[in-house]
Amino acid sequence: MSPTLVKQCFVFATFLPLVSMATIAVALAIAQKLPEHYVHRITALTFVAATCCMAVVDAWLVLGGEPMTLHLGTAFSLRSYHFDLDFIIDGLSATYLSLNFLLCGLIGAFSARYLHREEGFFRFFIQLDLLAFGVSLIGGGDGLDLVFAGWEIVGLMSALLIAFFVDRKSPVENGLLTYAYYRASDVGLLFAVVILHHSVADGHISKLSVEGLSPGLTVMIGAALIVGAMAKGAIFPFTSWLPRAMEGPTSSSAIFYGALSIHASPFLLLRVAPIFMDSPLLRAMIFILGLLTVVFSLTVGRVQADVKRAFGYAASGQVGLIWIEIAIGWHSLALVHIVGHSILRSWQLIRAPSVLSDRRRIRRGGGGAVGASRPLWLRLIPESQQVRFYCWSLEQWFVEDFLAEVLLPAIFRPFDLLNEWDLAWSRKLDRSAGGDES
Amino acid sequence: MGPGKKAALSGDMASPADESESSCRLSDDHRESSSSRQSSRRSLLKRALERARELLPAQRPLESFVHHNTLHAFEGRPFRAAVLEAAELFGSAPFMAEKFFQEAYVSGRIHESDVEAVLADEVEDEALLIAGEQWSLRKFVKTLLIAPRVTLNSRSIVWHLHEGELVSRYPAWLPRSSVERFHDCGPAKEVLPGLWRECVEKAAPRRATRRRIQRVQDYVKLRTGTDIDARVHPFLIRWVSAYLDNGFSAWPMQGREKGFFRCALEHWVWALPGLPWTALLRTEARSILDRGMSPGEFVLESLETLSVGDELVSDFVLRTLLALPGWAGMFVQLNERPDLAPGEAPPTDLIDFLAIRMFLELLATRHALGAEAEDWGEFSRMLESGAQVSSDQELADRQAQGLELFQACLIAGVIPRRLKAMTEGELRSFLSVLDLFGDGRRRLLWQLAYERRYRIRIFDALLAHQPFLRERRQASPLCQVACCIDDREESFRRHLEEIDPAFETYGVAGFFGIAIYFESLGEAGRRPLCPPTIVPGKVVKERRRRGSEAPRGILQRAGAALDHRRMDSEGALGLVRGTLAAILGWGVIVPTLLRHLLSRGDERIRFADPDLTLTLDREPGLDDEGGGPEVGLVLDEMVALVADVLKGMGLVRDFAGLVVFFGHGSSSANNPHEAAYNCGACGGGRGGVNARLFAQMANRPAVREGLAEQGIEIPGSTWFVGGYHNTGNDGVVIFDRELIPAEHTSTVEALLSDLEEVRRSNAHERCRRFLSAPLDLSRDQALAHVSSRCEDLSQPRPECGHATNALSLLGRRAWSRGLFLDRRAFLTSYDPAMDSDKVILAGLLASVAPVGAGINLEYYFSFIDPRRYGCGTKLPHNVTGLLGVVDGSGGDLRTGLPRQMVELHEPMRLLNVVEATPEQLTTIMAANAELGRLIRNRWVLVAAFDPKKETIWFYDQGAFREHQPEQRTIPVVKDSRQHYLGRRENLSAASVKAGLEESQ
Repeated sequence: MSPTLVKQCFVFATFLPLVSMATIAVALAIAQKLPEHYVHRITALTFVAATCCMAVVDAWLVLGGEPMTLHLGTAFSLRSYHFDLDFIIDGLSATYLSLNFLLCGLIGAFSARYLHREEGFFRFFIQLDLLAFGVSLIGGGDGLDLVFAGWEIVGLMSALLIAFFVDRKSPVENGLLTYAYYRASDVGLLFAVVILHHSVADGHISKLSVEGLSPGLTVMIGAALIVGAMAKGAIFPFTSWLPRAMEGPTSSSAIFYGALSIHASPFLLLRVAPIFMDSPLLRAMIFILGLLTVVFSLTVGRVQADVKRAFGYAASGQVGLIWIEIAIGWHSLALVHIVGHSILRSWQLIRAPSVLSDRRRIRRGGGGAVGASRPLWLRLIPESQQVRFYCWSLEQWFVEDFLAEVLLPAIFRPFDLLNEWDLAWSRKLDRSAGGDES
Repeated sequence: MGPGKKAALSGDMASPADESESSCRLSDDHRESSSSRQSSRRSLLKRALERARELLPAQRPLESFVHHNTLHAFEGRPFRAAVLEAAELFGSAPFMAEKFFQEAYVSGRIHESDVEAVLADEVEDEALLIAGEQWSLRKFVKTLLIAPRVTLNSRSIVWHLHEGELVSRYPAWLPRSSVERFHDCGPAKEVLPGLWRECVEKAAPRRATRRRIQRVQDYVKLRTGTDIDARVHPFLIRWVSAYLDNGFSAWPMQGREKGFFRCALEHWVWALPGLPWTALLRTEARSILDRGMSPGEFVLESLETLSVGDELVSDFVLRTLLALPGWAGMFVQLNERPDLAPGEAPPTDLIDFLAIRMFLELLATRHALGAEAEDWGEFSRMLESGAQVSSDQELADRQAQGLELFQACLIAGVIPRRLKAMTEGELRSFLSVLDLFGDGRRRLLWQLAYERRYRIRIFDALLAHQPFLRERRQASPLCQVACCIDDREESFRRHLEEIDPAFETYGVAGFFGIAIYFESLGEAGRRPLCPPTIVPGKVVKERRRRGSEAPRGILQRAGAALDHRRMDSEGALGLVRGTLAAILGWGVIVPTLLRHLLSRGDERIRFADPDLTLTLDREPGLDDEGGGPEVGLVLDEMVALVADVLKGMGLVRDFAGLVVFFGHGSSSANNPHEAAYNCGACGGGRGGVNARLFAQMANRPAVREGLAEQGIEIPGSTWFVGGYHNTGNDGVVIFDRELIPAEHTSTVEALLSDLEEVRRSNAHERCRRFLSAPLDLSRDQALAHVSSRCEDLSQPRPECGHATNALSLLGRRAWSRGLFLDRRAFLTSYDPAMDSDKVILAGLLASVAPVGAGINLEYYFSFIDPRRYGCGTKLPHNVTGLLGVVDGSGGDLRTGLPRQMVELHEPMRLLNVVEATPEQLTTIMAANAELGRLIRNRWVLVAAFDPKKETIWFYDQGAFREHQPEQRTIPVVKDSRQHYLGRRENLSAASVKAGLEESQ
């Protein structure tokens, strides 16, 4: 196996979903209506081929091939800034991309039947392809700006798939809310990219190191990256979008919120680990955020009465745990955890409608109470305080109330003032100019 | 529902005589003094809640899903009026939209003769003068119906005016008579805008419309634009779903035994202080708890605060509860039948839910309006008389009315000049005709025509089929098979008869008269196996035969062990187990997949395992402590039960050597609505147990002696066998084979091999309905296809269920045998010859008609309005509290059927054809009030059929009218396969020769 072949496979796999998406979109634009099985076949072909390509890459790495980077070209340049199409082939990217294509393929196969005759059938597959493409940019991109592009694609697809059922209000609202959370947190990532370019004139992950960066700058970049990684992973206090995101078809919930989308967050941390691994402050930050998320998800998750929201919180709890692992430095464990958790959670979410029949079967042979066993940690809370804790858990620690009633108004207040000031001025100008106009 | 219902529905709650109008708005101090007023308010509230209980959706927890008439509460009113009234109340559709019917008309599903016949029945013909031209009213309405006009809401009108071609092009559907006239006037661009303006002006509302204010939410929204539901609903839904949770969450809510009102308030006093909303919640909850108010007191006080007048209490309460009908309805359901809760049901008094709802609404109002919220005088005025509509709304209303007139002018060829020239009186009569034949009425006419076509076809086919039956020679049957009356068993029986004419089949309600709770070893809890209206008094338990525990395969044991690890649909939610499972991701998937594969045989094991026995005999030792239902039956009960069933189905002599009873059910994967595919007569359970019990009883010598005393002589050579048919994968199981006497071995062998054939044929016929099954499948492939559908996690349509139901035949099989009915008919066996006093017929009708109506009408309503009556698409469904489904991440509990279940349905009322004379039916209708109401109000359509005279009388407009055949021939085919092969659509009836051939 030559490195060239490996590189070709890698690039082929990365861009294949984009080709597939374009094929479906163009065919739809021309034919207006396609037989469902065309889309089914295109999708199957895409992800089988992409998974095979990744198998080649994986095999090469397992057999001792050195990690490498590849330069595909420069998308555009602006003075000293170049938007390079650079990719990195190493254990991390190979793992994440393999997982990506495998899961997308399985979910695609599942959805072809699940979404049969559904309005939005084609839309779903276009978005699934774009998700796969976005994830491969996050996973394989070498330049942080390329990662950012993938990050945005995934975010947008995520919001669109939450709002899949456009005829009802709540999916659209929750899609928008999720997107707002994403954008708020994305500012961190963008900020980090800009500072990196400014300070070392380079945003390449493969060359990422703290050398040449002042400690203050390192903390700044690291903190910005951490903020950037928070929303996608539903890290506290951004957790509450995740259960709300369970609006789309079960299969899209499974792949986004059980697997690929939420794990982009710890994956990004693993990628940029050189920035924060030497900084106890940043590691403590990651650790604390992770811990908060675990505790939050655990308490809030265990009072949920519905399956999908319960899975949402269970997933964010695990992501919090992965953050903790990363902060401690167990990066291989974190990667194993990401893969394992993705598979487990998407499988569970897909089977979420089975909860009734599963529950019925559980007591085979009789005995045992109906109902899940009470979590052990509940014993830590004194009996007298349990009602209070229950109230706080069901109300998600009042985080959303705090956001809606304190934080957002505080953020919007200055803008509102500016707006009023601006309107007042324009009215004034209108009045002074008005005489001539009429 | 008594006669009082009518009054309750129309909302005119008479206020007690001792009360005067002015007492509505008494001040607080006053209130204390007048205790009589207080008690009358209390009884008003009580009645309001009673009314709400009737009208809220009556869907049970999903596990015990049973089909019921979505508008059951309205059965006291005629169907056509009730659906309109319900549409008004629930904001739903009464019938399909006109477009649906017009497409059916174009495709030939509705004939012109149907429209004409319906108009002849429904419309008093009169002369109509439109713009100086004579029309007959019927002709005008017919033109109005058939023209594929556009239906636009007020918003889309604006778009169509400016961007579309509403006033810039003559529509293609313009009747020929008006085409010339309009073209003579000039091009559309010059003519139509003028006509449009004129129409909008002329159609100006004759009465001032007022916006209705029905809830606090409407009022607050009108005043401030704030949507308080946006705050109340997510919050309330979180709490109500956690409260009602039947055992899903690991950390259940505490203090639920105190009722929802108190329990929730006790939690809310702990809300975070400091934020406006939560602080308000905290202090108000505290103050109510301190005052020790009951929910009833709180509601009464709130009604006082809002100054809701006495006569408005009922409507106000109803509207307030209907804002979240699913959850409110679940409160009622769990309250009425706590035995159907999948876990431990907390106390669920509707007043608790209402009190919490009103508490939150008032709180949210105060949160939104601040101190202003205290002023409710305006609210009670608006509640009474509505609010002024905005000028935008007024314009939109006028345009909507204008559109009706505009299109009517196009149809009638009224060019602008003639419209202008219309006299005031002429215009008024034209407008009143349009008003009379508004959207609702037109849809009704279409609906009648749609139903008529199917009816005529079936009546003609039934009559044309009779000569073939006359030629058939009766021979003694080899084997008699009784199936459920279910429409899905129609094809099963037909194929059985085709394979061997020596089979005789019967249809009988699938619980076979055995109303029990069943405790399975394979399932948690006990489930009722009987029609929903019966509360069983008996329990039958499944037990493992002593000493048979040991030999279980290693794989099964592994599967059972994995079950307890619960790694799949709800495991791995906690921290420790979740983490372990996540890190060992693959390690978990492989065993769960394996378990999945292993559990496939579940049903087979459960039903046919000879080591599992049923506690048929009375065993007092097994009874619950504290007077639950008894375990097992005593001899007399068994005799009575078997006798009733056999007499009912008309099988009291000429017993064949083998009599088989098939219960049925359906298995599907990943399907919260699984129970909706099961046997309706078994309350959404699987009827295999009932069939097995029935056979065991009927085989007992002691029972047979008892039967002989009643005149039912079962020969010693006759053996009863219980069986189970899975309508999903067409699996067939025979129970207690080892007990079958040796003399029957050869018959049983023959039966089993025939059943193998039948399930293949049945699967093959079913596959024509599945788009994913190619039309050229072989029968083996078809069987493989249906069984894979039922195990496929990604398959939202495991089978078609009752989707095509349309017909119900009650009478001897002798006159429907060999008739291809396309799996659309409920078939109930009944022999008039053995029922001289018509007691059996009355009993059968009383049980079969409502069950059929329940299934049929639930499909009807879920089909015509998947949003309000049905539960929408299955894909985002999320199981909540083990009770029901919500859409996505939350919202109201969705009731009714999912879209995937009803897609193939043709929305028609069930057509019941009964082997009886019109006189007999009239007598029965008069004797049984509930049945009479169902038929007279036309929730089901009924016809009397006399096979000897070959005459059918259809009950319409209060009388039985003889059917005049349109067509006297029927397609004749060799076998069913020849008729359906290669076709996916609904098929006409046909005479199948294979089912009629004489016995060898």
